[in-house]
Amino acid sequence: MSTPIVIADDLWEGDAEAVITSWLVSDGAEVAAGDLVAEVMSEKAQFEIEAPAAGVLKIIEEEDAVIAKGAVIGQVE
Amino acid sequence: MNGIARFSVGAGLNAERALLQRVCDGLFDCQLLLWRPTGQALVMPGSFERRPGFALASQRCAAQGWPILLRDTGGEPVPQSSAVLNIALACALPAGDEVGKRIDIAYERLLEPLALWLAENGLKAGVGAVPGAFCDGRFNLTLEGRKLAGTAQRWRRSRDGRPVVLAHAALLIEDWREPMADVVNRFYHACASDLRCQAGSHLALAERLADAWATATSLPECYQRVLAWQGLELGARASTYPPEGLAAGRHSPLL
Repeated sequence: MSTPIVIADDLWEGDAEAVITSWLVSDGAEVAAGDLVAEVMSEKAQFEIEAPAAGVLKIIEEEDAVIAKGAVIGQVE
Repeated sequence: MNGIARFSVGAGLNAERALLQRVCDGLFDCQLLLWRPTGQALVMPGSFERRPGFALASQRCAAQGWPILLRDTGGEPVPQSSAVLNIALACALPAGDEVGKRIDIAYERLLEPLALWLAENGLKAGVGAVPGAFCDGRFNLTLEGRKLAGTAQRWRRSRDGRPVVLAHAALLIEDWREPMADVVNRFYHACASDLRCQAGSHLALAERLADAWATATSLPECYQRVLAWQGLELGARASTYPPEGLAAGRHSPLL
């Protein structure tokens, strides 16, 4: 059972894309629900992304990847 | 006390982090910090550390008197010096405030008091991108089509789950346009980047307003006044914003 880390539709307005500026946790690391795992930037605004569940982090989109709303950037297994 | 703190650039960045933390911790719903650097540095998002050539660029900039410091907001490299007035506004938003948590509304909340203050001093500001400006973006504060202030944001959640935004503006007061554009271009060159900026894309407030620093001492009062129109009380502990009938995201008549 895995839980996707999804860029929420309401994280920012409009259709502007964002960039993953950093993963704060390494691929394969244990995370708890609510832990900060990544940061993304759109329109010079930096957002924090939290782990949606406890488990092992699997990174799908690497740092500097350009993403849209709804993108699955990783999962917690 | 004129409401403008003096910090080294590093201490100023830390003061902004502490400001955001206080609001995230629920100590305040809205706080403002105005500060002016005592030294100088080239400030950029932490993700720049991964760029090829960063170490070399960092050494070269430091050797020219512009050490590199990392910030928590987005964007591109920005020179900070005693020529700059930094304005940081941290606000916690109600959980259901869909308008207030928009990026553009958070920029408007930051820039509307600045625009009013400029208008009261006979200057008509705009908002928009400025080709050739360093750290360009759609939410620059402009004068005569040139960049007067750059902006950025950082979003977090408060302990009780509300969205919290730190919106920041770097307002160029004194005319350091040439050395600032020069150090940014040297950084890009050392990183083998093709990006370049031009001093002429910027404008310093002192080029249009005499006694700009002295006049800036009235900015905190202007923020207090404009934010009060939106139901925000600077330094207030309560979390009743926005009061019934006041929309945090109402459209600004100035911008």
